[in-house]
Amino acid sequence: MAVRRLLGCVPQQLSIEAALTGRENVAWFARLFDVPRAQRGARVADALDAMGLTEGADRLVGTYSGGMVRRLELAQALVNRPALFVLVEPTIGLDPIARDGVWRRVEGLRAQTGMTVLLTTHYMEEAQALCDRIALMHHGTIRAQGTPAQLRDGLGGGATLEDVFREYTGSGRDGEDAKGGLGEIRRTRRDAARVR
Amino acid sequence: MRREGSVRSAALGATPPAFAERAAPAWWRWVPSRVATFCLVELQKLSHDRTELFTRAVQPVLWMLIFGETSTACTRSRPADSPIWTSWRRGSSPSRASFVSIFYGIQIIWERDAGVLTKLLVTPTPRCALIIGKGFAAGIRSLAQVVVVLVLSAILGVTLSTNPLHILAALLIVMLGSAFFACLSMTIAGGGCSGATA
Repeated sequence: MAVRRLLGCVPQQLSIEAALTGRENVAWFARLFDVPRAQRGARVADALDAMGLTEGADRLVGTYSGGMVRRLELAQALVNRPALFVLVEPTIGLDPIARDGVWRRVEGLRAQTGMTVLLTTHYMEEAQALCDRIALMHHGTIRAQGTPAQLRDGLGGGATLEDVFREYTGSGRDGEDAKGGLGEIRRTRRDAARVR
Repeated sequence: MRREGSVRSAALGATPPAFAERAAPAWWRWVPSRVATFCLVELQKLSHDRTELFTRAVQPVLWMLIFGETSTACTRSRPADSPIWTSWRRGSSPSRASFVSIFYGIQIIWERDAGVLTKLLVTPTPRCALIIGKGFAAGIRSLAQVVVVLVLSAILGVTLSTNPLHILAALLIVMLGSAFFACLSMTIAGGGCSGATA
């Protein structure tokens, strides 16, 4: 339990209670993280403010856009002030503007709080923009790790992170079969449908 | 990357693990705290969206008005002090409570798929407290249904005890029964999920 108090987690799926307001969703997790009652209201307001959701906080989440839902999830996970913030593919299914908004918030939070952010993503541009260190995983093992510059320089010749990804995870059908299966596509489509 | 104004929050900028350093509450405070939290969330959901309350109320209304009426007509020979309405009401409350709580418990499968369960399991909530909390939240849903049945019974002229202790005892039994059925269905649903994963 002590370790869980250090964690904030945003899963890949959009896992918000649509029948509650934004404020109630964050307050729910404040209670689950045992935030003292006297500070709960202020904590919830701070988390919502940090994610730019103060205006829509008392609206039902069912009326939120996909980007707002994702930012609300970030607020939910931040209400405990975690030391380790885990984001699992936080921008999947989001349009470029919403994705940009999530990136901006994550960057801002990291700069302000100094918390460790562990982010998983399939988008190399996202990794390039947000990460100090990158570990490329394939079939459950880490194939390469380092700063974005180190990984690019390792290949040489003006390689991009996508080139590095292809190099270490296999550029042929092996990679496609492993990650682009029917189940994966179904899950992605379902998430995209929930975002809309 | 498009940039806008910087994120501002003095409180979030403070030492991050402020709450993490707090001592964990004693185990005997966890369970009531989580039960209260889940019940409160359920009440909030009900206050925002009463659709499910109304749609689920259709069934007891049908049973009491249509089938009850028919059965009463067919059993005119029953003793006057034991009208069929009383039997229907007695049967309706627990049946509604069990249906609602069993369905509520099974919803944990969808919560697991939607990632809600993952998030809940990351919070400092013991699994037993999570299950008990959700069980009593199912009780809140059931109580709402039982209230519908009781109101309908009163309108239909069913003899009801007005002793507050009797009513409280009935509500407590409904709450505990619902929690039991919800826990049972969550256990079965959890077992099914584990089997499917394996």
